[in-house]
Amino acid sequence: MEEHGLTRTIDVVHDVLDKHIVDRNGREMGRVDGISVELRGGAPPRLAEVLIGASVLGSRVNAVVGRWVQGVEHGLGIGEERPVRIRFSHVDEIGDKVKVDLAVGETGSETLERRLRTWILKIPGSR
Amino acid sequence: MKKYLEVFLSILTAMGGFVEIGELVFTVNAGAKFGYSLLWVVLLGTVGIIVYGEMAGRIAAVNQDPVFYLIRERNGYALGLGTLIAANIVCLLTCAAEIGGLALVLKLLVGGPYRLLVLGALLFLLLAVWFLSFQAIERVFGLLGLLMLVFVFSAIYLHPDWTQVGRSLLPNLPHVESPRDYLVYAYFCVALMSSIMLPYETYFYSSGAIEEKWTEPDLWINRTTSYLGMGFGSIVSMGVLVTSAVVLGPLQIRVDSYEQAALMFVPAFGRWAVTLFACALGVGCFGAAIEITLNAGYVLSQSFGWPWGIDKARRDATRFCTAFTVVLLLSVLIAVVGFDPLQMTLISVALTVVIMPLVVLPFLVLMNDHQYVKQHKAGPLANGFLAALTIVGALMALVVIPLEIFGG
Repeated sequence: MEEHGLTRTIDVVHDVLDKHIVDRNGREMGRVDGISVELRGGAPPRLAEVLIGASVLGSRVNAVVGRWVQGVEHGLGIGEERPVRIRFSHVDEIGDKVKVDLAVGETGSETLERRLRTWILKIPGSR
Repeated sequence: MKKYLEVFLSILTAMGGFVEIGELVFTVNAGAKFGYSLLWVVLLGTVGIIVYGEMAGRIAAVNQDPVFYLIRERNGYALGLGTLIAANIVCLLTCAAEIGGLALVLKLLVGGPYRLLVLGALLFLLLAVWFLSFQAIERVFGLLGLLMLVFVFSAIYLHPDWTQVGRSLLPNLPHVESPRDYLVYAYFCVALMSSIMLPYETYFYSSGAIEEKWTEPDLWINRTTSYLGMGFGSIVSMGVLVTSAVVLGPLQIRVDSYEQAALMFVPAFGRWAVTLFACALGVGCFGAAIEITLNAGYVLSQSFGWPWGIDKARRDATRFCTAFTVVLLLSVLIAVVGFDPLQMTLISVALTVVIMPLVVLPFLVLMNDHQYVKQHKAGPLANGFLAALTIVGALMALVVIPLEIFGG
């Protein structure tokens, strides 16, 4: 990653994985639950996407747990949009948090939040 | 001026939050069984929670990171998830115990069937967490926390043997009738320590620091609140222990109901004993139940990176709101199904002490990371003390608790 004309080396597992990920306005999008790598025949592998989603995290624990969590996500009706995939080209900054140049609304990371909102706003006194 | 008033209220809240059902159960029994002897454990536990709480508040004020933000990031996902699951189980059980306690308080005060009263308690709690802001919660419980001073008043009224009280603040072994009682004493040491050093208090405290928008210049507030608030809380606990030692000790009874525990107020408050005891217990349970409920929302949101905060509009933190509401409802379910609140307290206290090193040790590593906390690093004394306390506590718990449970 280029920074002030100097090349900085990033340890992907230590510096990116499990970090908080925020959108361009600083709003929380979740955690980096997984990272996908593109294998390109002949050329060296390349970091492709950061992944957000409980099923990705679950599958890191164990494949069965991953499938089980995926089942729950489908049950909640958000299975289609999970995991959220963000291309590495959208990653703006890697520091205490991982910042991307998108807005939350442009990704699927807020689907559950939005779905719950319709319920929560029905409760008297919610604002 | 307003700032000082807020600090004063924070101190009262920390004091009121110090005494909750698990702590009360063990302190009353400790006094009834071993006289003043276990006062040193209350003191040691207090120093532990003050050191730990102050550090958690410091990280939150300096880096705007509450404790649970960091656990997964620094410990890796496996340990992070393990701690999250353990913390939530403890939250559920402790919350169920507090709700059960609250229902019993209502029973002592107004009477009625237990299950109906649990639902009454749920209604109170739901109204409080849904409609009060963080500041309002703090104000209400800060002022109600003053009621806890009845324990201190009662202890002074009873004219205890102050020399003996003073001596018991240092580690000591009581005179016991059978060698088996030493095991019981060790069990009480562990349980009392664990019930004082509840990690949820620090998750809540550090999340609260962010809710209240503390920054580096507010570090003095953090120090004042943790030292004085928890210090006064400890004096209240000592008041409970001394009262119980003077009144219940000579009766040679094992306190296994709240009606029995309320007897300890009779010499000081006469016919008001049960009412006052119930009110104080109720305030403790209610405050703790709210803290634990919100805490479940905090730890889940911070672990998964959801927006969180009780002062955020509900529409902007829906997963946070759903998480704490679900945990509250599950706790009520556990309480309604009819586990005995005292039993739930025992289990949650035992679990707490075993997971302590998982939470505290990685936190200490972070407190020593110069890059992260800059000049606010923990000193060697605080490091050593906290590490030793949690490791020894957990090792003792692993030996003593099974022995106590299987030995009846």
